Amino acid sequence: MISIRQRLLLWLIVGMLVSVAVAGLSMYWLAQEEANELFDYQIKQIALSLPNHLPTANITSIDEDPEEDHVIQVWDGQGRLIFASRPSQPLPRYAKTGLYTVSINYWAWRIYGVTRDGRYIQVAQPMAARAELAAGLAARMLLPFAALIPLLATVIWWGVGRSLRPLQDVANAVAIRHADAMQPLDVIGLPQEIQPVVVALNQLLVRLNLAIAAQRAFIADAAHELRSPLTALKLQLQLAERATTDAQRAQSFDKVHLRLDRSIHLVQQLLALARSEPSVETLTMRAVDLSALAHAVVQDLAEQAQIRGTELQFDIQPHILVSGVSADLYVLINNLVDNAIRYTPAHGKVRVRVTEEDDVPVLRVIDTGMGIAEADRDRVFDRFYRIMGTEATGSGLGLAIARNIVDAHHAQIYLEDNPVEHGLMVVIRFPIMDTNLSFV
Amino acid sequence: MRLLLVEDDVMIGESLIEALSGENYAVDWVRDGRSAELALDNGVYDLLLLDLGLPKKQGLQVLSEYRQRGGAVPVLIITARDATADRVGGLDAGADDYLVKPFDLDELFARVRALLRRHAGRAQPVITHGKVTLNPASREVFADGQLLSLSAREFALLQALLDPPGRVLSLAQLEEKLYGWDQEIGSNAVEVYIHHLRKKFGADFIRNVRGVGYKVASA
Repeated sequence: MISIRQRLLLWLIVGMLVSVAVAGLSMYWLAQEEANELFDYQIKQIALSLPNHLPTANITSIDEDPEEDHVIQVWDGQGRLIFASRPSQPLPRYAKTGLYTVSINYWAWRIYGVTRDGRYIQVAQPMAARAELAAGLAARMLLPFAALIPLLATVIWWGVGRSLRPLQDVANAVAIRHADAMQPLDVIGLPQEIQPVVVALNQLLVRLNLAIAAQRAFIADAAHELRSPLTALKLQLQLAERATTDAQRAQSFDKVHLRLDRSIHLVQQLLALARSEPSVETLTMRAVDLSALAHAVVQDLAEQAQIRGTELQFDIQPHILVSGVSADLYVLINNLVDNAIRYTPAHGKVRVRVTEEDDVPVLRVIDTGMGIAEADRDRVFDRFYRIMGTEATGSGLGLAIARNIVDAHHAQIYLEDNPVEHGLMVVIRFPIMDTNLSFV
Repeated sequence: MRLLLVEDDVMIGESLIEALSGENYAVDWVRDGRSAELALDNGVYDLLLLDLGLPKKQGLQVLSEYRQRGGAVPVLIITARDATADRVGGLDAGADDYLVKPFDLDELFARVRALLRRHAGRAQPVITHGKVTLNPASREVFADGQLLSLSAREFALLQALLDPPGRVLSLAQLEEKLYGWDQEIGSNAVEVYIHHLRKKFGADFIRNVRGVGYKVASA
């Protein structure tokens, strides 16, 4: 794991070392410049201030000052060496005038030569002396920094830790939370770097809270809705147990079956609803033959319609394709047609139409039932919502499931009046088919 | 005894009608709050069985308005809402008892009997009037300790006259107590049953109050 504290410390120390190095180098370079100027002046002055009468060759190497690094040599007009400050360090006569640098046995020397009163004076100084001076100067100036680095490191370590403490506090607050505790975290007093994280976390908590509340409400609703068919079932079972004649018992058991079918239908619709809830993973859309699906639904529900005495008609253009999930679209059409049959009185008509209008695939389910009042048309899509006055044996989920599937297919669903006679027309307009989809 | 059942679920309603009719109650069934109000205004019911989630008008509203109008009939709420707050709300709105779906028929019958008993101002589960003892739960009638065999209608008629004893009931009231909306009534059916009861308990057991109706003789 990467620690911000360690990283910061590392980078700060690296940065400091680099700046100290740069500062040291420039200091060294500047000091050397200064030393050059100073020493050049010094050797020049030495050369110019030599007395006219020098003791001739009376300096021996024994008298030499080991600290003294200058080499002063004087030659007379005939080129004889008449003076050498350090006989142990004989330098050749360069016979140049002015300042110049030479290399002797790989050592650089700075030399000033001048001719005065017929004598040639040469003052030489090893360059190493200057470098030594510059280095010493630079080192002395950098010494405090060397002592400061550990101190700074300690301060940074402590300071960074202290600055990051709110983050640790937030982490602790989240860590000790109960799964149900959805109240937002405190944002006040947080550093501005951490605030966006906590604000985003709070927004996520709000969304999660809503999702969990919706889920709980659904479970409560579902449990509540299951009670009615189960109550009807339990009552009828008890009546069957109490039946005194075989005929009574047989009749009672027929009713038991009806009530059991209703409970099963509700459970199936609940499952269908759960499956139709838009999930995170995107559905794999394929080309689906809407016409064939509509035909299949009409065939599957023909018997049910016949039992109820409802005329099931269809008007389906062949091979109209939509992109979608075949199983879901079947559930959608089945729900709509089943609803239409359920809520249309005996001898009514239910018509399934599939057409293409300006390339838009359109499915219509038209019935001659009681229709849905304008005011109810939005609410009927809510789960478990039933229109006042209708017999409450349906699951109350059909249109909620339809809406979910329609949404997942990016289609639109409208409830309209039956244009010809009294009744309801459900219209679903699908998006125009994407021709790139593979056909299955 | 005539009951009003207010239940919007067709299947539950059907089964309850069958069950209560089997217990010799005359039962009328309505499926929404408005119809419940209209039916209650008849004033012929001995007990109201009320579902809460109703179309057109909520059960609780029907109940509290009925009580405000002075309606005194015992009310048993039958609902799927089982939260304590719902129970408290129902009882405070004027219900006498609260039964959560799904329930056992035996429990429903027992609660109905208890409510009817209390409403008649009686704490004892058995009605005793002179030599006659009537047990609504077991539907047995004893005269001088002898078990008598009564038909369902005869029993219902006797119970109507005995609960409480001595009350004068008109022929129309007796018919209302014995028959629901959908039941055919013979033109002199009640008089025929009264005749049967007089044969079993003695001619002076049921007395005709001229121009008003019938009552049991005082013990």
